[in-house]
Amino acid sequence: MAWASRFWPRSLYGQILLVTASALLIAQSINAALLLFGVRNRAVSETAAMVVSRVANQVERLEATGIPIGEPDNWYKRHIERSGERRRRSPPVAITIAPNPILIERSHIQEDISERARDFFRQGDINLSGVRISTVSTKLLPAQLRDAQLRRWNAGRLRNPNIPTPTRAVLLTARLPDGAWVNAAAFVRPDERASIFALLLQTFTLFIAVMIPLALVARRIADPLSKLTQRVQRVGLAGEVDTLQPAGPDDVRQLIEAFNAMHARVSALLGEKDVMLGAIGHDLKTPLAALRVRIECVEDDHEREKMAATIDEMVTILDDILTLARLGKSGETLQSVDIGALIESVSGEFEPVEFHIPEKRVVANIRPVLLRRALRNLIGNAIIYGKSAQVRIHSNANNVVIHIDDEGPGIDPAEMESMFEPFTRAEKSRSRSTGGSGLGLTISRAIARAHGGDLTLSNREEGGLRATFSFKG
Amino acid sequence: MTKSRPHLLLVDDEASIRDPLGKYLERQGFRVSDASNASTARSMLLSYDIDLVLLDIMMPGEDGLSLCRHISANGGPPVILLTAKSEETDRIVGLEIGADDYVVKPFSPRELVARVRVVLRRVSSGIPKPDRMGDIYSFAGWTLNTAEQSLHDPEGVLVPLSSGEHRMLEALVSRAGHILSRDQLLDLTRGREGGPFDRAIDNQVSRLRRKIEVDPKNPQHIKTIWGGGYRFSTEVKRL
Repeated sequence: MAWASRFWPRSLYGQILLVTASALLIAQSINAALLLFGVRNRAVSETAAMVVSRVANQVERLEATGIPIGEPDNWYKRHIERSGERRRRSPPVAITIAPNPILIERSHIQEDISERARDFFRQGDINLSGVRISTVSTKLLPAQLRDAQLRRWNAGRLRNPNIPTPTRAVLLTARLPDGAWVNAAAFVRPDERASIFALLLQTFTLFIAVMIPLALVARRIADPLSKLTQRVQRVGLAGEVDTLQPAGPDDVRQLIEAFNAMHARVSALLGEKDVMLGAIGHDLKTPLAALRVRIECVEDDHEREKMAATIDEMVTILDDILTLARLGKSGETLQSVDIGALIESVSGEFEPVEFHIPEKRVVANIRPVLLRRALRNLIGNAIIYGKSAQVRIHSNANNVVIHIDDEGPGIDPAEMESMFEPFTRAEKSRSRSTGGSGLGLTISRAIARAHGGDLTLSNREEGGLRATFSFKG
Repeated sequence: MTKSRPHLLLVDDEASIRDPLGKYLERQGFRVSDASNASTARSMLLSYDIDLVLLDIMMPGEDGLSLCRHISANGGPPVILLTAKSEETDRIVGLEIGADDYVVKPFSPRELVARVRVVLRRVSSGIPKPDRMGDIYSFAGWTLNTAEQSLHDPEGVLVPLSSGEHRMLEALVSRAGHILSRDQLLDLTRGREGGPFDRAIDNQVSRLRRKIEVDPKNPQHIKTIWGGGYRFSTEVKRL
């Protein structure tokens, strides 16, 4: 059903409107079909009844008076002329007697009506057999059955040009006891255009009356919801998120108010955390700085360098903790950055890095300092633990994916996820001697997630580890 | 002009840093006065002939940035900032308000002394404070901000450079129109981390070209001068 899902709108607004419009359309189509069918059927039945009663009259008259069928008699003429009104209203019936029945190929035999006609004749003791009633296009009627009627209709149109030309006729064929055939036809009153027009108008009015208010209401719900969604997506991303003015129906309004309140609480908590972490950072760095100055008194160069290295390591850990803790409220603003150039400049800090940057420039809205830090961690890991790094960028309309591949031993799949936990190292061999705080992957993943993406690790089939770093483009 | 014992003013609210650092600097041949807050520092600047100020940023009361701005605005001695934060924005702010250099705590005292000597040598040789702390150049729609170390393309997209590439581009752009030999470029781009070696100049130029040239094979901005070196050939405006 791929084709269906292509037309299926994804938004609440679109779905409400599409479902309602479709439902209305289906309901109105059924109505229209029923109405049209009813009108046509009734017209055919009425015409057939008229034909049957005319034929019955003529056959009765033949038996009673010997006037041949199809010959008008004076009594009948008089009768018709007296009740002229009736004559105008009922279209005439043309009757002929012929040795054979008129058989028209493209006709629709009306079984029900034929059956009713046979009953009618039997009850009236009218001796007709092989009664068959069908509907047929007026164009296919033989001239002697058609022309007189057509003249009448055309004459009627002189008075009222809006009368449509009949397109269908009811044809009755039946055998007389002497073996001759009665063929009778009458034009079916054309479909009433007015009723179809009324139906269309009704449908149109219904659409307007339902769809416009519905569209307005759906907008009232969907607009604040989409604004809220945009707002929620930005929380934790681009520094400050302003509060959203509640709008829409009460349900949506309450949701927005609840979000605003929640956001205020979260901001307050994050603010406190920042202040506290800043203080911790400062308070720990000051004694470290003092210590760093004091170790210059150590005479033994080797000892002193080791002490300096230890202090540097503590500072690195402290910086990483502070980065991780402040990530949600980074002061850095989003800006559009050439990702290829970013990777190239990070790769330049390391020795054996091979990178493949697509011809077409990849530009994304990111925080360059954070992203640089994440990539530096990942490329650094690849070189320290995997001997080399190969960096590739893949991008589509929404996402940028960066693969960082190494040629190291990879990681036991069971340990893969725990690698992202703070202060975890893969194996005993990856000890502190290789440096780093043990927060690198934790920070890198947090940075990816803060950019609407993720960081995953996998072992490559060819051997080595692949880090897949993705973010929103 | 050069004194045998340059006089340093060390401003830090933490005695635990001030005392050992002061002693260390004295052992290195400096005369050291110290102050524990900005107002003491201001009065000492008036009463002594200070050659250089070592200034902590985070202090109670008036902070280091404000004092630095004051010193710089009044044509005072050069300032090296001691900062606890390593976030880049702090560094940039420090350099933009007129500091000559900065070190991030905890710093190596040896490195600090080396920086102090560099700044003092520059001041005594009469070289004006280099503008490289905060210049903005523009060429062919591109913008190079030397304080932020940022390069933006004509569409405003940030094109990140490594620090080596940045020094190279800055050297070329700030001397646009002049031919720079590889040796000159080596001198100009030798950074704190030790400079690149000869071949690296060519590598770095080709990396830069990939980033800023429309067709790196037929460069319009950084041109190779046969037998000479490189020249930045596009018109550069200083903003």
